[in-house]
Amino acid sequence: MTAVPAEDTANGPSVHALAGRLPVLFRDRIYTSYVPFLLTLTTLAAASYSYLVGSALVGVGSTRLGMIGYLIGMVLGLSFVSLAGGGLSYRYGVDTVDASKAPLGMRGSVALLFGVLLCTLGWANVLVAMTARGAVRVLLAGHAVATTHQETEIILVGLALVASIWVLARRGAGWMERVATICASAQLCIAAILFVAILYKYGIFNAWMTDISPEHAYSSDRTMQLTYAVEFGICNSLSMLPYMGGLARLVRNSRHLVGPTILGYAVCGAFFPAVIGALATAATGEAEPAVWIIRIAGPQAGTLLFGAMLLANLGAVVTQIYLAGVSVQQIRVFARLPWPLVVALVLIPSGFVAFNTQWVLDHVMNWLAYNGVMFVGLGSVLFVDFFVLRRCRVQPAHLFAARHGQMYWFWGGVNWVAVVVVAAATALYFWLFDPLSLRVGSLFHYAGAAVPTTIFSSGAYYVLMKWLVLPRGYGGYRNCENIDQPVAVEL
Amino acid sequence: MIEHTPTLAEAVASTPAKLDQELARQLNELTADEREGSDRARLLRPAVLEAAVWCSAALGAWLAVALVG
Repeated sequence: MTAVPAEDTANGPSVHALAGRLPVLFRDRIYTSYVPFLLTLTTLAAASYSYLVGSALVGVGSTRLGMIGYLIGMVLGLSFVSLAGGGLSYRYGVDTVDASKAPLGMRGSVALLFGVLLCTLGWANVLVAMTARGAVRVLLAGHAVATTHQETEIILVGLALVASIWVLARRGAGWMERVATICASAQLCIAAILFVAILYKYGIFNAWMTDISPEHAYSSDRTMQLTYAVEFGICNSLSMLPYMGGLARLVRNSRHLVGPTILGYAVCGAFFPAVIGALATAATGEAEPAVWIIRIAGPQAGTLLFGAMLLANLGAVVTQIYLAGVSVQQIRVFARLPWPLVVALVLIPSGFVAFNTQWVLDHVMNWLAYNGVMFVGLGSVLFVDFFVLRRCRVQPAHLFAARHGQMYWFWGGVNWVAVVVVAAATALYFWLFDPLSLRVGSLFHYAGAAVPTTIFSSGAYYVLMKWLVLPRGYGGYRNCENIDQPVAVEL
Repeated sequence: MIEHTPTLAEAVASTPAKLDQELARQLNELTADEREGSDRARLLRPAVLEAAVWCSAALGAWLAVALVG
Protein backbone atom coordinates (compact mmCIF):
# COMPACT_ATOMS: atom_id res chain seq x y z
CA MET A 1 0.00 0.00 0.00
CA THR A 2 2.94 2.35 0.51
CA ALA A 3 4.28 1.73 -2.97
CA VAL A 4 1.28 2.02 -5.25
CA PRO A 5 2.64 2.42 -8.82
CA ALA A 6 3.07 5.95 -10.17
CA GLU A 7 -0.18 6.24 -12.06
CA ASP A 8 -2.33 5.55 -9.01
CA THR A 9 -0.46 7.91 -6.72
CA ALA A 10 -0.73 10.88 -9.04
CA ASN A 11 -3.63 12.46 -7.17
CA GLY A 12 -2.13 12.45 -3.68
CA PRO A 13 -2.14 10.20 -0.69
CA SER A 14 -5.89 9.67 -0.52
CA VAL A 15 -5.56 7.40 -3.55
CA HIS A 16 -3.91 4.90 -1.16
CA ALA A 17 -7.47 4.11 -0.16
CA LEU A 18 -8.14 2.57 -3.60
CA ALA A 19 -5.51 -0.13 -3.06
CA GLY A 20 -6.11 -0.56 0.64
CA ARG A 21 -8.64 -0.45 3.43
CA LEU A 22 -8.77 3.32 3.99
CA PRO A 23 -12.26 4.75 3.40
CA VAL A 24 -12.61 6.01 -0.18
CA LEU A 25 -14.01 9.55 -0.13
CA PHE A 26 -16.60 10.46 -2.74
CA ARG A 27 -14.17 12.70 -4.65
CA ASP A 28 -11.68 9.81 -5.05
CA ARG A 29 -14.14 7.24 -6.38
CA ILE A 30 -13.41 5.85 -9.85
CA TYR A 31 -16.92 4.90 -11.02
CA THR A 32 -18.33 8.31 -11.87
CA SER A 33 -20.84 7.22 -14.50
CA TYR A 34 -23.29 4.38 -15.20
CA VAL A 35 -21.58 2.35 -17.93
CA PRO A 36 -18.11 1.62 -16.46
CA PHE A 37 -19.64 0.10 -13.30
CA LEU A 38 -22.09 -1.88 -15.45
CA LEU A 39 -19.17 -3.24 -17.53
CA THR A 40 -17.14 -4.25 -14.45
CA LEU A 41 -20.11 -6.24 -13.16
CA THR A 42 -20.67 -7.68 -16.64
CA THR A 43 -17.13 -9.05 -16.80
CA LEU A 44 -17.47 -10.61 -13.32
CA ALA A 45 -20.52 -12.59 -14.43
CA ALA A 46 -19.77 -13.22 -18.10
CA ALA A 47 -16.69 -15.39 -17.68
CA SER A 48 -16.59 -18.92 -19.16
CA TYR A 49 -18.59 -20.47 -16.32
CA SER A 50 -21.74 -18.52 -17.24
CA TYR A 51 -22.03 -20.57 -20.47
CA LEU A 52 -21.79 -23.76 -18.38
CA VAL A 53 -24.59 -22.44 -16.12
CA GLY A 54 -26.70 -21.98 -19.25
CA SER A 55 -26.06 -25.58 -20.26
CA ALA A 56 -27.11 -26.71 -16.76
CA LEU A 57 -30.36 -24.70 -17.01
CA VAL A 58 -31.56 -27.00 -19.77
CA GLY A 59 -31.55 -29.72 -17.09
CA VAL A 60 -34.55 -28.24 -15.28
CA GLY A 61 -36.66 -29.83 -18.00
CA SER A 62 -37.94 -26.82 -19.93
CA THR A 63 -35.40 -24.61 -21.74
CA ARG A 64 -37.85 -21.69 -21.75
CA LEU A 65 -38.77 -21.88 -18.07
CA GLY A 66 -35.12 -22.43 -17.20
CA MET A 67 -34.05 -19.19 -18.84
CA ILE A 68 -37.01 -17.06 -17.69
CA GLY A 69 -36.76 -18.36 -14.12
CA TYR A 70 -33.00 -17.83 -14.02
CA LEU A 71 -33.44 -14.16 -15.03
CA ILE A 72 -36.20 -13.65 -12.44
CA GLY A 73 -34.00 -15.18 -9.73
CA MET A 74 -30.99 -13.09 -10.69
CA VAL A 75 -32.96 -9.81 -10.65
CA LEU A 76 -34.70 -10.70 -7.39
CA GLY A 77 -31.46 -11.72 -5.70
CA LEU A 78 -29.39 -8.79 -6.93
CA SER A 79 -31.96 -6.16 -5.96
CA PHE A 80 -31.43 -7.46 -2.41
CA VAL A 81 -27.67 -8.16 -2.58
CA SER A 82 -26.78 -4.77 -4.09
CA LEU A 83 -28.23 -3.07 -1.00
CA ALA A 84 -27.31 -5.65 1.65
CA GLY A 85 -23.70 -5.95 0.49
CA GLY A 86 -23.20 -2.47 -0.94
CA GLY A 87 -25.27 -0.04 1.18
CA LEU A 88 -22.87 0.67 4.03
CA SER A 89 -19.79 0.38 1.81
CA TYR A 90 -21.20 2.92 -0.64
CA ARG A 91 -22.18 5.38 2.08
CA TYR A 92 -18.87 5.30 3.97
CA GLY A 93 -16.38 4.07 1.33
CA VAL A 94 -15.28 1.06 3.36
CA ASP A 95 -14.53 -2.50 2.25
CA THR A 96 -17.06 -5.35 2.66
CA VAL A 97 -15.31 -6.78 5.72
CA ASP A 98 -15.03 -3.39 7.47
CA ALA A 99 -18.70 -2.77 6.70
CA SER A 100 -19.64 -6.08 8.33
CA LYS A 101 -18.06 -5.02 11.64
CA ALA A 102 -21.17 -3.00 12.56
CA PRO A 103 -23.53 -6.02 12.47
CA LEU A 104 -21.11 -8.87 13.23
CA GLY A 105 -18.72 -7.21 15.68
CA MET A 106 -15.01 -6.43 15.29
CA ARG A 107 -14.00 -10.09 15.61
CA GLY A 108 -17.17 -11.57 14.14
CA SER A 109 -16.33 -9.95 10.79
CA VAL A 110 -13.56 -12.55 10.38
CA ALA A 111 -16.34 -14.89 9.16
CA LEU A 112 -17.00 -12.58 6.23
CA LEU A 113 -13.27 -12.16 5.56
CA PHE A 114 -13.12 -15.94 5.23
CA GLY A 115 -16.13 -15.85 2.86
CA VAL A 116 -14.64 -13.06 0.73
CA LEU A 117 -11.31 -14.83 0.32
CA LEU A 118 -13.02 -18.16 -0.32
CA CYS A 119 -15.19 -16.70 -3.08
CA THR A 120 -12.73 -14.34 -4.75
CA LEU A 121 -9.79 -16.75 -4.73
CA GLY A 122 -11.99 -19.82 -5.32
CA TRP A 123 -13.65 -18.43 -8.45
CA ALA A 124 -10.45 -16.72 -9.66
CA ASN A 125 -8.58 -20.02 -9.48
CA VAL A 126 -11.39 -21.94 -11.18
CA LEU A 127 -11.12 -19.42 -14.02
CA VAL A 128 -7.32 -19.75 -14.14
CA ALA A 129 -7.70 -23.54 -14.40
CA MET A 130 -10.45 -23.29 -17.05
CA THR A 131 -8.51 -20.76 -19.09
CA ALA A 132 -5.21 -22.68 -18.95
CA ARG A 133 -6.80 -25.96 -20.04
CA GLY A 134 -8.94 -24.26 -22.69
CA ALA A 135 -6.01 -22.26 -24.08
CA VAL A 136 -3.91 -25.41 -24.53
CA ARG A 137 -6.85 -27.08 -26.25
CA VAL A 138 -7.00 -24.13 -28.67
CA LEU A 139 -3.22 -24.03 -29.18
CA LEU A 140 -2.98 -27.77 -29.84
CA ALA A 141 -6.16 -28.02 -31.93
CA GLY A 142 -5.55 -30.44 -34.81
CA HIS A 143 -2.22 -31.70 -33.40
CA ALA A 144 -1.81 -35.18 -31.93
CA VAL A 145 0.02 -34.59 -28.64
CA ALA A 146 0.81 -37.00 -25.80
CA THR A 147 -1.14 -36.39 -22.54
CA THR A 148 2.04 -35.79 -20.46
CA HIS A 149 3.26 -33.19 -22.96
CA GLN A 150 -0.18 -31.56 -22.90
CA GLU A 151 -0.10 -31.32 -19.08
CA THR A 152 3.30 -29.55 -19.26
CA GLU A 153 1.84 -27.04 -21.70
CA ILE A 154 -1.12 -26.44 -19.36
CA ILE A 155 1.26 -25.71 -16.46
CA LEU A 156 3.27 -23.26 -18.57
CA VAL A 157 0.15 -21.46 -19.83
CA GLY A 158 -1.24 -21.38 -16.27
CA LEU A 159 1.95 -19.80 -14.91
CA ALA A 160 2.02 -17.26 -17.78
CA LEU A 161 -1.59 -16.42 -16.93
CA VAL A 162 -0.77 -15.87 -13.25
CA ALA A 163 2.10 -13.57 -14.24
CA SER A 164 -0.21 -11.57 -16.56
CA ILE A 165 -2.78 -11.20 -13.77
CA TRP A 166 -0.09 -9.84 -11.44
CA VAL A 167 1.06 -7.32 -14.08
CA LEU A 168 -2.50 -6.02 -14.52
CA ALA A 169 -3.70 -6.15 -10.89
CA ARG A 170 -0.55 -4.53 -9.42
CA ARG A 171 -1.60 -1.20 -10.98
CA GLY A 172 -4.55 -0.87 -8.60
CA ALA A 173 -8.22 0.04 -8.98
CA GLY A 174 -7.83 2.26 -12.07
CA TRP A 175 -6.37 -0.56 -14.14
CA MET A 176 -8.84 -3.06 -12.75
CA GLU A 177 -11.64 -0.85 -14.07
CA ARG A 178 -9.93 -0.44 -17.49
CA VAL A 179 -9.21 -4.17 -17.91
CA ALA A 180 -12.79 -4.97 -16.87
CA THR A 181 -14.21 -2.50 -19.42
CA ILE A 182 -12.17 -3.97 -22.29
CA CYS A 183 -12.91 -7.58 -21.31
CA ALA A 184 -16.64 -6.97 -20.81
CA SER A 185 -16.90 -5.33 -24.24
CA ALA A 186 -15.10 -8.33 -25.78
CA GLN A 187 -17.33 -10.80 -23.89
CA LEU A 188 -20.51 -9.06 -25.07
CA CYS A 189 -19.26 -9.03 -28.71
CA ILE A 190 -18.41 -12.75 -28.54
CA ALA A 191 -21.81 -13.54 -27.00
CA ALA A 192 -23.58 -11.50 -29.72
CA ILE A 193 -21.67 -13.34 -32.49
CA LEU A 194 -22.54 -16.73 -30.97
CA PHE A 195 -26.20 -15.70 -30.59
CA VAL A 196 -26.41 -14.70 -34.26
CA ALA A 197 -24.63 -17.94 -35.27
CA ILE A 198 -27.19 -20.06 -33.35
CA LEU A 199 -30.02 -18.01 -34.87
CA TYR A 200 -28.62 -18.54 -38.38
CA LYS A 201 -27.79 -22.23 -38.05
CA TYR A 202 -30.65 -23.64 -35.96
CA GLY A 203 -33.30 -20.91 -35.84
CA ILE A 204 -34.03 -19.35 -32.48
CA PHE A 205 -37.52 -20.85 -32.26
CA ASN A 206 -36.23 -24.41 -32.70
CA ALA A 207 -33.59 -24.00 -30.00
CA TRP A 208 -36.04 -22.16 -27.69
CA MET A 209 -38.65 -24.93 -28.01
CA THR A 210 -36.19 -27.84 -27.66
CA ASP A 211 -36.23 -29.53 -24.23
CA ILE A 212 -34.16 -32.41 -22.97
CA SER A 213 -35.88 -35.78 -22.59
CA PRO A 214 -38.09 -35.96 -19.44
CA GLU A 215 -36.07 -38.84 -17.92
CA HIS A 216 -32.98 -36.58 -17.80
CA ALA A 217 -34.83 -33.54 -16.39
CA TYR A 218 -34.67 -32.51 -12.71
CA SER A 219 -38.46 -32.42 -12.66
CA SER A 220 -41.41 -32.93 -14.97
CA ASP A 221 -43.61 -30.56 -12.95
CA ARG A 222 -43.83 -27.06 -14.55
CA THR A 223 -44.00 -25.16 -11.24
CA MET A 224 -41.04 -27.11 -9.92
CA GLN A 225 -39.01 -26.46 -13.10
CA LEU A 226 -39.61 -22.71 -12.70
CA THR A 227 -38.75 -22.78 -8.99
CA TYR A 228 -35.48 -24.63 -9.66
CA ALA A 229 -34.46 -22.02 -12.24
CA VAL A 230 -35.41 -19.09 -9.96
CA GLU A 231 -33.39 -20.67 -7.14
CA PHE A 232 -30.33 -21.10 -9.39
CA GLY A 233 -30.58 -17.39 -10.27
CA ILE A 234 -30.87 -16.33 -6.62
CA CYS A 235 -27.94 -18.60 -5.66
CA ASN A 236 -25.75 -17.01 -8.35
CA SER A 237 -26.72 -13.50 -7.25
CA LEU A 238 -25.95 -14.31 -3.59
CA SER A 239 -22.39 -15.16 -4.60
CA MET A 240 -22.06 -11.42 -5.40
CA LEU A 241 -22.50 -10.53 -1.70
CA PRO A 242 -18.77 -10.64 -0.79
CA TYR A 243 -17.82 -8.66 -3.94
CA MET A 244 -20.47 -5.97 -3.63
CA GLY A 245 -18.96 -3.84 -0.85
CA GLY A 246 -15.49 -3.74 -2.40
CA LEU A 247 -16.97 -2.40 -5.64
CA ALA A 248 -19.71 -0.18 -4.13
CA ARG A 249 -17.07 1.84 -2.23
CA LEU A 250 -15.71 2.94 -5.63
CA VAL A 251 -19.09 4.26 -6.90
CA ARG A 252 -19.73 8.02 -6.65
CA ASN A 253 -23.49 8.33 -7.25
CA SER A 254 -26.13 6.21 -5.50
CA ARG A 255 -28.16 6.11 -8.75
CA HIS A 256 -25.32 4.02 -10.19
CA LEU A 257 -25.42 1.38 -7.46
CA VAL A 258 -28.44 -0.85 -8.16
CA GLY A 259 -29.24 -0.40 -11.88
CA PRO A 260 -25.76 -1.24 -13.24
CA THR A 261 -25.50 -4.16 -10.81
CA ILE A 262 -28.73 -5.71 -12.08
CA LEU A 263 -28.27 -4.84 -15.75
CA GLY A 264 -24.54 -5.60 -15.77
CA TYR A 265 -24.30 -8.69 -13.59
CA ALA A 266 -27.76 -10.22 -14.05
CA VAL A 267 -28.81 -9.31 -17.59
CA CYS A 268 -25.65 -8.70 -19.67
CA GLY A 269 -23.18 -10.81 -17.70
CA ALA A 270 -25.08 -13.85 -16.44
CA PHE A 271 -28.36 -14.10 -18.38
CA PHE A 272 -27.20 -13.34 -21.94
CA PRO A 273 -24.33 -15.92 -22.00
CA ALA A 274 -26.51 -18.40 -20.08
CA VAL A 275 -29.22 -18.10 -22.76
CA ILE A 276 -26.59 -18.79 -25.42
CA GLY A 277 -25.24 -21.76 -23.43
CA ALA A 278 -28.77 -23.12 -22.94
CA LEU A 279 -29.81 -22.66 -26.60
CA ALA A 280 -26.54 -24.15 -27.85
CA THR A 281 -26.88 -27.17 -25.53
CA ALA A 282 -30.51 -27.64 -26.52
CA ALA A 283 -29.62 -27.39 -30.23
CA THR A 284 -26.39 -29.44 -30.29
CA GLY A 285 -26.81 -31.73 -27.27
CA GLU A 286 -23.34 -30.71 -26.07
CA ALA A 287 -22.78 -29.00 -22.68
CA GLU A 288 -19.08 -28.14 -23.06
CA PRO A 289 -18.61 -24.65 -24.66
CA ALA A 290 -15.34 -25.69 -26.35
CA VAL A 291 -17.29 -28.37 -28.25
CA TRP A 292 -20.50 -26.54 -29.15
CA ILE A 293 -18.75 -23.31 -30.18
CA ILE A 294 -16.77 -25.22 -32.82
CA ARG A 295 -19.90 -27.05 -33.97
CA ILE A 296 -21.81 -23.79 -34.31
CA ALA A 297 -19.13 -21.46 -35.70
CA GLY A 298 -16.94 -23.99 -37.55
CA PRO A 299 -13.38 -25.15 -36.72
CA GLN A 300 -11.50 -21.93 -37.54
CA ALA A 301 -13.95 -19.23 -36.43
CA GLY A 302 -14.97 -21.39 -33.47
CA THR A 303 -11.38 -21.82 -32.28
CA LEU A 304 -10.80 -18.08 -32.65
CA LEU A 305 -13.97 -17.22 -30.72
CA PHE A 306 -13.17 -19.72 -27.98
CA GLY A 307 -9.63 -18.31 -27.66
CA ALA A 308 -10.98 -14.75 -27.39
CA MET A 309 -13.53 -15.91 -24.79
CA LEU A 310 -10.73 -17.39 -22.67
CA LEU A 311 -8.63 -14.24 -22.95
CA ALA A 312 -11.61 -12.14 -21.82
CA ASN A 313 -11.71 -14.18 -18.58
CA LEU A 314 -8.81 -11.99 -17.46
CA GLY A 315 -11.25 -9.17 -16.62
CA ALA A 316 -13.07 -11.28 -14.02
CA VAL A 317 -9.86 -12.71 -12.54
CA VAL A 318 -8.18 -9.29 -12.21
CA THR A 319 -11.29 -7.87 -10.50
CA GLN A 320 -11.47 -10.83 -8.10
CA ILE A 321 -7.77 -10.61 -7.27
CA TYR A 322 -8.10 -6.83 -6.67
CA LEU A 323 -10.98 -7.43 -4.23
CA ALA A 324 -9.10 -10.25 -2.49
CA GLY A 325 -6.03 -7.98 -2.20
CA VAL A 326 -8.07 -5.26 -0.49
CA SER A 327 -9.84 -7.65 1.88
CA VAL A 328 -6.73 -9.60 2.88
CA GLN A 329 -5.37 -6.34 4.36
CA GLN A 330 -7.68 -6.99 7.31
CA ILE A 331 -4.71 -9.09 8.44
CA ARG A 332 -2.51 -6.29 9.76
CA VAL A 333 0.76 -7.56 8.31
CA PHE A 334 -0.70 -7.38 4.77
CA ALA A 335 -1.77 -3.75 5.35
CA ARG A 336 1.90 -2.83 5.83
CA LEU A 337 3.11 -4.35 2.56
CA PRO A 338 3.37 -2.60 -0.83
CA TRP A 339 0.32 -3.28 -3.03
CA PRO A 340 2.24 -5.22 -5.76
CA LEU A 341 3.57 -7.54 -3.05
CA VAL A 342 0.08 -8.02 -1.60
CA VAL A 343 -1.15 -8.99 -5.10
CA ALA A 344 1.79 -11.40 -5.50
CA LEU A 345 1.00 -13.07 -2.17
CA VAL A 346 -2.70 -13.35 -3.01
CA LEU A 347 -1.69 -15.03 -6.29
CA ILE A 348 0.44 -17.74 -4.62
CA PRO A 349 -2.48 -20.26 -4.55
CA SER A 350 -2.96 -19.60 -8.28
CA GLY A 351 0.65 -20.68 -8.85
CA PHE A 352 -0.20 -24.04 -7.27
CA VAL A 353 -3.42 -24.19 -9.28
CA ALA A 354 -1.38 -24.01 -12.50
CA PHE A 355 0.10 -27.40 -11.55
CA ASN A 356 -3.25 -28.97 -10.60
CA THR A 357 -5.85 -27.50 -12.97
CA GLN A 358 -7.91 -30.68 -13.36
CA TRP A 359 -8.09 -31.21 -9.60
CA VAL A 360 -9.37 -27.64 -9.14
CA LEU A 361 -12.07 -28.11 -11.77
CA ASP A 362 -13.10 -31.47 -10.27
CA HIS A 363 -13.24 -30.38 -6.62
CA VAL A 364 -13.35 -26.59 -6.14
CA MET A 365 -16.34 -25.94 -8.40
CA ASN A 366 -18.44 -28.37 -6.35
CA TRP A 367 -18.15 -26.58 -3.04
CA LEU A 368 -18.53 -23.18 -4.70
CA ALA A 369 -22.10 -24.33 -5.43
CA TYR A 370 -22.73 -23.68 -1.73
CA ASN A 371 -22.22 -19.89 -2.11
CA GLY A 372 -25.94 -19.26 -1.81
CA VAL A 373 -26.18 -21.29 1.40
CA MET A 374 -23.28 -19.40 2.93
CA PHE A 375 -24.54 -15.91 2.19
CA VAL A 376 -28.33 -16.01 2.44
CA GLY A 377 -28.40 -15.49 6.24
CA LEU A 378 -25.50 -13.07 6.19
CA GLY A 379 -27.23 -10.92 3.55
CA SER A 380 -30.37 -10.71 5.70
CA VAL A 381 -28.35 -9.68 8.77
CA LEU A 382 -26.42 -7.00 6.84
CA PHE A 383 -29.60 -5.60 5.29
CA VAL A 384 -31.75 -5.47 8.43
CA ASP A 385 -28.91 -4.14 10.56
CA PHE A 386 -27.97 -1.21 8.30
CA PHE A 387 -31.26 -0.24 6.67
CA VAL A 388 -33.75 -1.03 9.47
CA LEU A 389 -32.00 -0.99 12.86
CA ARG A 390 -29.38 1.69 12.10
CA ARG A 391 -31.42 3.72 9.57
CA CYS A 392 -28.37 3.96 7.25
CA ARG A 393 -26.04 5.52 9.85
CA VAL A 394 -22.91 4.19 11.55
CA GLN A 395 -19.89 5.84 13.16
CA PRO A 396 -17.18 5.08 10.55
CA ALA A 397 -14.29 5.71 12.98
CA HIS A 398 -15.56 2.93 15.23
CA LEU A 399 -15.26 0.45 12.36
CA PHE A 400 -11.49 0.90 12.78
CA ALA A 401 -11.39 0.83 16.59
CA ALA A 402 -10.74 -2.80 17.55
CA ARG A 403 -10.65 -2.36 21.33
CA HIS A 404 -12.77 -3.72 24.12
CA GLY A 405 -15.64 -1.41 25.02
CA GLN A 406 -15.84 0.35 21.64
CA MET A 407 -19.14 0.75 19.80
CA TYR A 408 -19.08 -2.43 17.69
CA TRP A 409 -17.52 -4.71 20.29
CA PHE A 410 -20.76 -6.46 21.47
CA TRP A 411 -19.76 -9.59 23.49
CA GLY A 412 -16.02 -10.28 23.18
CA GLY A 413 -15.90 -8.63 19.76
CA VAL A 414 -18.71 -10.79 18.33
CA ASN A 415 -22.42 -10.11 17.86
CA TRP A 416 -23.58 -13.62 18.82
CA VAL A 417 -27.17 -12.85 17.82
CA ALA A 418 -26.00 -12.37 14.21
CA VAL A 419 -23.93 -15.57 14.40
CA VAL A 420 -26.92 -17.61 15.66
CA VAL A 421 -29.23 -16.16 12.99
CA VAL A 422 -26.71 -16.90 10.19
CA ALA A 423 -26.26 -20.48 11.48
CA ALA A 424 -30.05 -21.00 11.71
CA ALA A 425 -30.53 -19.55 8.21
CA THR A 426 -27.90 -21.93 6.80
CA ALA A 427 -29.61 -24.92 8.45
CA LEU A 428 -33.03 -23.80 7.15
CA TYR A 429 -31.71 -23.32 3.62
CA PHE A 430 -30.16 -26.82 3.65
CA TRP A 431 -33.42 -28.27 4.92
CA LEU A 432 -35.27 -26.64 2.03
CA PHE A 433 -32.67 -27.24 -0.71
CA ASP A 434 -29.30 -28.91 -1.20
CA PRO A 435 -27.73 -27.20 -4.26
CA LEU A 436 -25.41 -30.09 -5.07
CA SER A 437 -27.70 -33.11 -4.74
CA LEU A 438 -30.79 -30.98 -5.70
CA ARG A 439 -32.76 -32.60 -2.83
CA VAL A 440 -35.68 -30.33 -1.91
CA GLY A 441 -38.01 -29.83 1.08
CA SER A 442 -41.81 -29.54 0.85
CA LEU A 443 -41.92 -25.70 0.90
CA PHE A 444 -39.45 -25.48 -2.00
CA HIS A 445 -42.12 -26.38 -4.56
CA TYR A 446 -43.81 -22.95 -4.34
CA ALA A 447 -41.32 -20.51 -2.83
CA GLY A 448 -37.84 -21.98 -3.38
CA ALA A 449 -35.34 -21.88 -0.52
CA ALA A 450 -33.69 -18.44 -0.52
CA VAL A 451 -36.89 -16.36 -0.27
CA PRO A 452 -38.35 -18.13 2.82
CA THR A 453 -34.89 -18.25 4.43
CA THR A 454 -34.39 -14.50 3.87
CA ILE A 455 -37.81 -13.68 5.34
CA PHE A 456 -37.22 -15.95 8.34
CA SER A 457 -33.66 -14.74 9.08
CA SER A 458 -34.55 -11.04 8.62
CA GLY A 459 -37.49 -11.35 11.02
CA ALA A 460 -35.54 -13.41 13.55
CA TYR A 461 -32.60 -10.97 13.53
CA TYR A 462 -34.85 -7.95 13.98
CA VAL A 463 -36.78 -9.48 16.90
CA LEU A 464 -33.69 -10.88 18.68
CA MET A 465 -31.75 -7.62 18.32
CA LYS A 466 -34.69 -5.56 19.66
CA TRP A 467 -35.05 -8.00 22.55
CA LEU A 468 -31.46 -8.83 23.48
CA VAL A 469 -29.03 -6.20 22.16
CA LEU A 470 -30.69 -2.77 21.90
CA PRO A 471 -31.92 -2.63 25.55
CA ARG A 472 -28.34 -3.32 26.73
CA GLY A 473 -26.98 -0.36 24.72
CA TYR A 474 -24.55 -2.54 22.74
CA GLY A 475 -23.69 -1.93 19.09
CA GLY A 476 -24.27 1.86 18.95
CA TYR A 477 -27.86 1.53 17.70
CA ARG A 478 -29.20 4.42 19.78
CA ASN A 479 -28.14 8.06 19.31
CA CYS A 480 -25.34 6.98 16.97
CA GLU A 481 -25.01 10.47 15.44
CA ASN A 482 -24.79 12.17 18.84
CA ILE A 483 -21.80 10.16 20.03
CA ASP A 484 -18.83 12.42 19.45
CA GLN A 485 -16.14 10.97 21.68
CA PRO A 486 -12.61 10.69 20.18
CA VAL A 487 -11.58 7.16 19.33
CA ALA A 488 -8.17 5.61 18.63
CA VAL A 489 -8.25 4.16 15.12
CA GLU A 490 -5.82 1.76 13.46
CA LEU A 491 -5.71 -0.54 10.45
CA MET B 1 24.15 13.82 -3.55
CA ILE B 2 22.89 10.26 -3.38
CA GLU B 3 19.29 10.00 -2.20
CA HIS B 4 18.51 7.22 0.26
CA THR B 5 15.89 4.88 -1.13
CA PRO B 6 14.18 3.02 1.73
CA THR B 7 14.46 -0.76 1.61
CA LEU B 8 11.31 -2.87 1.78
CA ALA B 9 12.00 -3.63 5.45
CA GLU B 10 12.38 0.10 6.25
CA ALA B 11 9.28 1.00 4.28
CA VAL B 12 7.26 -1.70 6.03
CA ALA B 13 8.53 -0.63 9.45
CA SER B 14 7.53 3.01 8.88
CA THR B 15 4.17 2.16 7.33
CA PRO B 16 1.84 1.53 10.32
CA ALA B 17 2.17 5.04 11.78
CA LYS B 18 1.78 6.70 8.37
CA LEU B 19 -1.21 4.55 7.52
CA ASP B 20 -2.92 5.16 10.83
CA GLN B 21 -2.41 8.94 10.39
CA GLU B 22 -3.82 8.72 6.89
CA LEU B 23 -6.76 6.68 8.20
CA ALA B 24 -7.48 9.27 10.91
CA ARG B 25 -7.33 12.06 8.31
CA GLN B 26 -9.73 10.27 5.94
CA LEU B 27 -12.14 9.50 8.80
CA ASN B 28 -12.10 13.10 10.00
CA GLU B 29 -12.95 14.27 6.52
CA LEU B 30 -15.71 11.66 6.23
CA THR B 31 -17.19 12.61 9.60
CA ALA B 32 -17.03 16.34 8.82
CA ASP B 33 -18.74 15.69 5.50
CA GLU B 34 -21.53 13.79 7.31
CA ARG B 35 -21.93 16.48 9.97
CA GLU B 36 -22.18 19.31 7.45
CA GLY B 37 -24.76 17.34 5.54
CA SER B 38 -22.89 17.97 2.30
CA ASP B 39 -23.53 14.39 1.17
CA ARG B 40 -27.28 14.51 1.68
CA ALA B 41 -27.81 14.24 -2.07
CA ARG B 42 -25.81 11.02 -2.07
CA LEU B 43 -27.98 9.27 0.48
CA LEU B 44 -29.23 5.84 -0.37
CA ARG B 45 -32.91 6.60 -0.97
CA PRO B 46 -32.69 6.49 -4.82
CA ALA B 47 -30.90 3.14 -4.63
CA VAL B 48 -33.49 1.71 -2.22
CA LEU B 49 -36.38 2.87 -4.42
CA GLU B 50 -34.75 1.43 -7.53
CA ALA B 51 -34.11 -1.90 -5.81
CA ALA B 52 -37.74 -2.00 -4.66
CA VAL B 53 -38.94 -1.48 -8.24
CA TRP B 54 -36.67 -4.26 -9.60
CA CYS B 55 -37.66 -6.60 -6.77
CA SER B 56 -41.40 -6.02 -7.30
CA ALA B 57 -41.02 -6.54 -11.05
CA ALA B 58 -39.18 -9.84 -10.49
CA LEU B 59 -41.75 -11.11 -7.96
CA GLY B 60 -44.60 -10.08 -10.29
CA ALA B 61 -42.94 -11.88 -13.21
CA TRP B 62 -42.41 -15.02 -11.08
CA LEU B 63 -46.08 -15.06 -10.10
CA ALA B 64 -47.22 -14.40 -13.67
CA VAL B 65 -45.05 -17.15 -15.18
CA ALA B 66 -46.07 -19.60 -12.43
CA LEU B 67 -49.76 -18.92 -13.12
CA VAL B 68 -49.46 -19.00 -16.92
CA GLY B 69 -47.04 -21.95 -16.84
